[in-house]
Amino acid sequence: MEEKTDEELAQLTGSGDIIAFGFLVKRYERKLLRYGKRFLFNYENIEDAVQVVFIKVYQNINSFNASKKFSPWIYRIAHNHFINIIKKSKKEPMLFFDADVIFSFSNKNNTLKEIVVKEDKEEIEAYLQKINAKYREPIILYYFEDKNYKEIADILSIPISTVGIRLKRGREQIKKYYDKRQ
Amino acid sequence: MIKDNNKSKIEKGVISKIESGEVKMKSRKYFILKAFMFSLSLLLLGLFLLYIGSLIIFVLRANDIFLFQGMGFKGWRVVFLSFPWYLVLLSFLLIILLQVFGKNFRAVYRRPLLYSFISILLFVIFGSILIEKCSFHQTFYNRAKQGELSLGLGMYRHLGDIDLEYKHTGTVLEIKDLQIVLREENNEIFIVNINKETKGKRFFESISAGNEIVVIGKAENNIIEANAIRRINGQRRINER
Repeated sequence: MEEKTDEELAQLTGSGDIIAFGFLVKRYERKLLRYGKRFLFNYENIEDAVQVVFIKVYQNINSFNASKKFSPWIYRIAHNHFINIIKKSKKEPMLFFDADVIFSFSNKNNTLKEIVVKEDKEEIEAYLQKINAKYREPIILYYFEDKNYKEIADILSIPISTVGIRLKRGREQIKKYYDKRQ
Repeated sequence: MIKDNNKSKIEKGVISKIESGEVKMKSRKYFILKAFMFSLSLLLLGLFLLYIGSLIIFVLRANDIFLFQGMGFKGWRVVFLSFPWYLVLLSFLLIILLQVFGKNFRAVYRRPLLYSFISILLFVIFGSILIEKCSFHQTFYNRAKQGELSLGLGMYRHLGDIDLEYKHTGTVLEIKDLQIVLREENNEIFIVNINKETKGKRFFESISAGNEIVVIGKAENNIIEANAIRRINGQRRINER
């Protein structure tokens, strides 16, 4: 079972194999806990939140298209659940209208800067809690979960160009805090 | 039952809920039905949007609003005041709804919303023009006028009844040189002067006494300087195509 891909395990789960689902839980538990801890930094029950994510994954596993990658799909479910938690807790503002999604156009000049900044993970992490949730999440997915632009776009259901804009703005916010501290 | 060795708290919690039946997997049929219903809603929404879009064009045509385009500011004022804004607002809301539905598709959310909004708008504009070219609304309009339609479709009866300033509808009594003697429905008689700038002059040659026509132009002392004319085709009070 361990050699099977995520997609194969998801298919087996869909046909009623609970052991296969157990393997999926094992593979993604740490990743989702890490993602949850960084994204929901002021939420106490991260484990409960991740457990609910896995329950939702199980309930909806038959909607997963095995010809696509499993990872963005499970992260999307986690994202939706975490966003609901943030909305319910009302600790952070969540905008209904977002101009980035409407007017975003590609910004290809970011690539080189990102490679440089990618080495400063620890520095970024220290300031993550201070920045807005909509910029925090793509930064977590890109720098800590190693997702690419397309995967992040699929997880957050936003345009690929918006991913670039949010990463850039997130980095700028982090840099502002960093400069203040210096 | 799966052995509990080396299981984390989360895994134990999830698996025990599944095994106890507390958590159930939704069937494939459920998702197929859901996708079908979703696609059907999207299709119906798109068709309704095309219907409303083509209805807007039809209302404009039925009321000869397109004939006002050569009248300058006065014409634009009439067009603005008589425009079916309630239908425009409704179609705008439907476009937003379609956009929200469409956000579930990768091809839509991966691009800026502005792109999909413009795509939907172009689809509606061109689709509506095509549908309006068919006799769809015209048939309902004619049948409603003849009292054959009731309930919802009965609303077609009044679609061409917008009272417009500078618009004169009546019967041609006489034609001499570049003048038409016109009797309106209230029996008022007007002299219509056709000049170089009158739009629709091609109709002038085919007009004869007894024809019904529409004239756009300002009337002073029962003389109208025609900005545009057109002949009403038979029983239809709609532009000839």
